[in-house]
Amino acid sequence: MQSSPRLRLLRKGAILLLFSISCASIILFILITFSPLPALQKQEEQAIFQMTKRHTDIAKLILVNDRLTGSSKILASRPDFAKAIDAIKKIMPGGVDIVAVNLIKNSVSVTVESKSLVLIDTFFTNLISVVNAKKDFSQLTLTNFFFHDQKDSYAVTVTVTPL
Amino acid sequence: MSTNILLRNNSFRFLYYRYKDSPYYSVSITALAFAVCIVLLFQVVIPQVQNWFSISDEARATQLKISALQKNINFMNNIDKAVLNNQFDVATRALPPQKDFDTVLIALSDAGLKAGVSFDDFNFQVGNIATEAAKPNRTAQIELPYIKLIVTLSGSMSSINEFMREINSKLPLSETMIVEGDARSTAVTLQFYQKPFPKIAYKDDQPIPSLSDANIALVRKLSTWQPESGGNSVSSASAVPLF
Repeated sequence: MQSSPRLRLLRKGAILLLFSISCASIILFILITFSPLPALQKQEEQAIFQMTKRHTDIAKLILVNDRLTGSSKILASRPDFAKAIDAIKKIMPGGVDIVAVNLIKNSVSVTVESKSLVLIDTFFTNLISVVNAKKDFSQLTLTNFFFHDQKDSYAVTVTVTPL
Repeated sequence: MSTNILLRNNSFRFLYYRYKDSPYYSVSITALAFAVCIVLLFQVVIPQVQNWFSISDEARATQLKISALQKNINFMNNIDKAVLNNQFDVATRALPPQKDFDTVLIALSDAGLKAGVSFDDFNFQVGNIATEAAKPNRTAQIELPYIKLIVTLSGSMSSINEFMREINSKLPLSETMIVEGDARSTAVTLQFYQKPFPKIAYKDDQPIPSLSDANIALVRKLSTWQPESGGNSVSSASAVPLF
C-alpha cells in the first residue's frame, strides 16, 4: 500500500532529526573529549608549583610595601619642630635669644629674651609678617611678656601654629 | 508457559504482518522516532552542550589564571633578591615588628652624639611587653603601637634643635611629641613606632604589588637614616610569617 505524501514527509523529517541529533551528539562528544582543559590544568599546576618557590620573596615584597606605607604615614603626620625653631631663629635679630621652648603638635611656644625692647619689637614685626604671609606659621599668640629684674632683660613668650 | 510466550510472540508477529502496510504502522514508527529524538535531545544533547559551555568557561578561566601566574613568575624572576632583601631590611628597621629597645637606644645615642647633647634621664613607658603588643596605645592619627620615651637632655637650644633633627632622621622611625625645656635642661617626649607583621593573604594568581616610585624613593631615603653604630642585621625575634 502506497503511503500518503504527508506521511512520507513526516517520516523523512523524523529520520533527518534523528540523524542530526546523532551527529550533534557525536560532535559534542568529540569536542568534550579533545578539549584543552586537562592540558591547561596541568600547565596551571606547574605554574603554581613554580610560584610556591617564590612565596618567601613575595611575602617580603608585600611586607616591604606594608612597612613603607606605615612609614610614609608617620613621616607625613609627624611634626617637624626643628624646622619650626629654625624658621623662628631665621627671623630673630641678633641680641634676641631663645631661652625656653614648649612644643607640642600644632603649637610651638618659645620664650625669647633680649635686653633691648627694640629688638623684641623687630622680632615681633618679623614674626607677624611671616604669619600674615602664611609662610611657616598660621597663627600667632602673645602668651607672656615680662621684665626680668635680675637679668635686666625682657622676655616674651609667643605661641605659633606651624603650617 | 512456553506456549503462552510463543502465543504472545506469535501475536506480535501477527500484529506486525497485519499492520505493517497500514498507515498506523508508519505513523507509530514516525512518532516513535520523534519521541526518541526528543529524549535524546533532552537527555544527551542539551546536557552535553551545557557541559561543553562549562568546560569552555573553565578553560578560559584556567587560561587567564595561567597568564596571571606566568606574569607573576616573570615579575618575581626580574626582581633582584639582594635588593629586595636590603629593602626588607631597611623597611623592617624603620618599623620593627616588635618593641626593639636596642635600636631605639642606638638611635638616641647616635642622635645625641651628633647633636652634642648629654642625656640626664631616661623614662621608657613600655606598657605590657607580651600581650599588649598587638593591642597597643595608639595615637589619634597613626594607628600603630609605639614605645613612649621621655628623655631629659642637657645642651644649648641649638643642640636640642639639632637633636630633634637628628632623631627625625634615624631608624626606627619616631615622632617627637612634646618638647619642654629651658636653658638648663629639656624634656623630649618621643614615640618610637613598631608594626607587627600582618598575616599575609595572597593568592598566586593575584597581581603582585610592586613597589611604587614613591616607595622606592622612601626606602632609599630610609636606608640613609640607619644609625652608624647600629648592627647590620634586623633584630627580629619572630620569623617572617608566610601565607
